[in-house]
Amino acid sequence: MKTILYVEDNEMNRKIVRDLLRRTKYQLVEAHDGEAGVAKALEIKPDLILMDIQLPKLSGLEATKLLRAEAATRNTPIITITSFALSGDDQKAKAAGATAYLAKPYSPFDLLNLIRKHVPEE
Amino acid sequence: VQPVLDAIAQSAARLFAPCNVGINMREGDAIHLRAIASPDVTQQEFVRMAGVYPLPYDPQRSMAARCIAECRAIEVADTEGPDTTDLVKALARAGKYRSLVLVPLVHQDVGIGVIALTRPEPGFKLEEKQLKLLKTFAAQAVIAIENVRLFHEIQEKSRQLEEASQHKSQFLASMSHELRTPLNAILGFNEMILGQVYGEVPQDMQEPLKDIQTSGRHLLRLIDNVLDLAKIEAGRMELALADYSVQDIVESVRSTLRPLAAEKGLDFIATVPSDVPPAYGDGGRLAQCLMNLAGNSLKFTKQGRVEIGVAQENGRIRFHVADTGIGIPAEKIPTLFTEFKQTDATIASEYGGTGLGLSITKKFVEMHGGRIWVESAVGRGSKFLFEVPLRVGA
Repeated sequence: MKTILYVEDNEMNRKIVRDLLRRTKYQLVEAHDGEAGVAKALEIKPDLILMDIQLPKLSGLEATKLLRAEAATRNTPIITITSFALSGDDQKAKAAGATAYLAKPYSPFDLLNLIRKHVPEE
Repeated sequence: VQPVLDAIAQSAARLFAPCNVGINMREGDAIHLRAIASPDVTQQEFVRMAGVYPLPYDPQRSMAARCIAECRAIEVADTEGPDTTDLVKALARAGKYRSLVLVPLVHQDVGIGVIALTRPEPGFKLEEKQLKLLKTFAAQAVIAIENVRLFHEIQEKSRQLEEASQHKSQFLASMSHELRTPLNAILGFNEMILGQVYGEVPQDMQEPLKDIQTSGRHLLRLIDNVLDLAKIEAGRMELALADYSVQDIVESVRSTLRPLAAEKGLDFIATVPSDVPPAYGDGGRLAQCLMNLAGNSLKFTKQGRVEIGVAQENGRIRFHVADTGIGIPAEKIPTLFTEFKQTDATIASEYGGTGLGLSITKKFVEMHGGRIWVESAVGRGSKFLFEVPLRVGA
């Protein structure tokens, strides 16, 4: 079973992804801030990480940079979720080492397709 | 104000030579010495030696206070006389004078200060004509002081206004961001309900759910536009300059809007000459501009065609969007690019739209060093054109 780590501080957003993935074969693990996200990623070595950009304690960009410096997560696909599609966040995400990015507001089904593209369900 | 007070003291000393001059100003319950014109003593020395500054605003003890309170000239023939207070004596000894004349500085019937002329010998008195001159001089001095105060007040007010406007824009920017978060959730959950993630959706519920989606997206666009505008107004909008492809921009707009055009049965044509070289600027924002214009055209055109075109000339690139829509009355064109100025309030309800798109488009075009204009007449369609340097900053 493929594991996805979702780092996001907003409960509603987490619930959307939780509900979205419940009917799939992916297993979801959640973290609520950047620091916890990095710790969890190193602990469970997920198959894919969804990383919100605006996070308490440690931003998604910083967290992504840290994970790229660790052998365990160097090649893990990281999809960053940016707030403003056009303000250059996408370039910053790329520079931090993100595999792909998705701008809010995203369609949950677009997110699912993007996940499937990087980590097939089975 | 200080240079004005110094100048007043010096002028008074010249006019009423050989008197020394002091200017005291009232500030609340106290009176401060603000300027002095005397060959014998400096302002600091006088204040230090007298040891009584700031003077209390007490007409019983201080002649300056009485002069200000009663708004009338006062003459003290001998500061060492039997009727003078300790305060008067202390000042006279520090200033080495024995007699003085005080005239009030009066602004709008309220005393704000006093000009004092002093002489080292007792018995000094101004003649009627000289006293009149001194009063006229005092009136002029008040005007000068008030002008400077007004000037500073206006400067301060305008600074505060600017700050308030900055705060407003920053508030709008952060507010817009806060508004998006719950709206994202509403749209996300609704889309999943529609996508049957939570189970089968009865046929007659699908339409209202789609209406939620449409309205939610409209609200989101509105918030996005307010956010963009607030960032522009706050001076926090920056272009993300990079190489971009004009062909890609036009294609992204065409493919996004094609379903809308097809739905309305409109011809929708987009052409780019194949020889347009790679451009440099904020491709995302320029795509947004083109999207706003083409979206408007599709909105305001009921039949016929909407056409996007590109031309390149002298290092500038010109985009246009032409339609066979309702057109714009000549008198509405000047305010067209101003926030919330759709040509008619009823148009917004019939055709939708935020009233912000054109204003934002204009600002982005101008940030690129370009310009935007429109050719249109009622019933004859509209053609919006904007032109930007092919390579910004080159």
